[in-house]
Amino acid sequence: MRRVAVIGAGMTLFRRRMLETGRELSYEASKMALDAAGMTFKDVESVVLGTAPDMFDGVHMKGEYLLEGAGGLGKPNSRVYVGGGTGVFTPIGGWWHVASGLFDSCLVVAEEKMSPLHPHPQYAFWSIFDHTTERPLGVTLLWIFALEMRRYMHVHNVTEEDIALVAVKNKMNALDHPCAQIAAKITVDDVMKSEKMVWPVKRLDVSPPSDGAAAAVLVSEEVARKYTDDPVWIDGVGWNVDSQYWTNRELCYPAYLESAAKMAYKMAKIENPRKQLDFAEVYDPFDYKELHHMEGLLLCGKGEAAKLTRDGVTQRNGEFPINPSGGLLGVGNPIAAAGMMKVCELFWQLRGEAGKRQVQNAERAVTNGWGDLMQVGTVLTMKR
Amino acid sequence: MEERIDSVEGIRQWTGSIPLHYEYTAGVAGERFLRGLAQGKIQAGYCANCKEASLPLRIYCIKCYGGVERSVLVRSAGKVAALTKTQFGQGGERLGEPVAFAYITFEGVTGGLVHRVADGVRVGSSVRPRFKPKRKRTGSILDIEFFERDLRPRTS
Repeated sequence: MRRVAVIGAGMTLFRRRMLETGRELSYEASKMALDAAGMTFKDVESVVLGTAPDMFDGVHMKGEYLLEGAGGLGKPNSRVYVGGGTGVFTPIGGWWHVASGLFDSCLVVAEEKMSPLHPHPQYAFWSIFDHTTERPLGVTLLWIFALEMRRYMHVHNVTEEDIALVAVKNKMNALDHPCAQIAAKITVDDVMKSEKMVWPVKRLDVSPPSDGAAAAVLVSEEVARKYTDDPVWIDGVGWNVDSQYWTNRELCYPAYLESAAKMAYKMAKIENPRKQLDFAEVYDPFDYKELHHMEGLLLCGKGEAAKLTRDGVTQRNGEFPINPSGGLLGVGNPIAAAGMMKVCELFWQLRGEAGKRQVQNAERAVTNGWGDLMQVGTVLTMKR
Repeated sequence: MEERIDSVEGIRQWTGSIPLHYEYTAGVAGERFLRGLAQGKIQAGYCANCKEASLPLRIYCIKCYGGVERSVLVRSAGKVAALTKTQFGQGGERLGEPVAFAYITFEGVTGGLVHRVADGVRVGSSVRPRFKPKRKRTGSILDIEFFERDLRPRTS
């Protein structure tokens, strides 16, 4: 397989409702990524789009719909979709294109426009639950995430206050992100007193619905050398999917993510992720998921993530920063675009272009996406 | 062994719906286009790089992928490139009267519009938009009631 470099990244503002259509958001993110790379749309050989359910945007065949805005007309293109894991799966799809030798360049674009959907984007998930055992109960995603959060707290003796520290950290980090939707300086007390939605999940434990797009330019080594002296390499990819029957697994640990991480680490020759990596952009649609995913990514032992958070290890200036971008909890959560935002953050951090968010001496990092009915794990490692 | 179910009465079944409703933004370009219609104007995007006007109005040019910031008024008469008449509505219901739709192009403009057309329009007909009275326009493609034959004398 050939080496694959990232040479440009771009993203739109993340907001609850953007005037731009999905196509327009895709165009703006793509143009920014290509401008950063010093390329034009004509220089791109192939396009991979990532976007979650058609029901969010309310547009059927959303990949085809968005393609024009991503400059993909008349070019080999594909759409990837694995629920909330799509954002990190999108550059994995682009990696296939270039690593295989089929193309020398691939523009990867992830978009989500959740604002059109009423009464709430969560309604799009009604049909995801098993119709025999679950749908008649009126189950929502928040219910099952609450059960997963509660199980994690119970098994590892983690408190709601421990988990709230993640929301406090990420929303604070997002104050330095120019595209952030809900950056804020808040306290654990604010989280604890925020509206109880499905106990133990409270309003400030959760990321918001958002509109936005993010993109990156992936190229072969030969092309990368023409455009930059400072490429960032994708050196590991992994993905894994468990059954939609979420009741058939231990909720306190994402084993599917561990499998995906091991696949990526093996490719990247990473034997000790905590020592060999410098930071991580961990998928955090809920604050407890940051802890959950730190463990699934083997960045710490099972049940240890809360202590690392309490001890300040995961702060941006800590020993192992987690979500220096501000994550989904701070920057926002336009599903596929949110995961792609994390890939962009890895690129900017590893190039030393993250501005106020810059993690010192960052040379190697990992990110993950997660989604569907809590069973999709997508992982990508990058290095300078 | 039964190869197909002839009656669902003997099996368990459920009914369901996904109660979704959408409120779409028209977008940056769409907003401009629809505001123009409310004023009785059809606007095309104009790419300064390609020196080309195109419909529908976009914020980018699909030839060079540069940004499109200008729009130009489509002043020319339309020409019917294709025409059809439908007997059925979107839900499969039979319409009382057939409705004629046409794909309409405009000289000097890439792309075109699909819209209803009046009786007597044929493929190749020169057509122009019939707008609703100004007070009834809402900023919608339906501010154009239909296209009708352009019987104005040619000026060139």
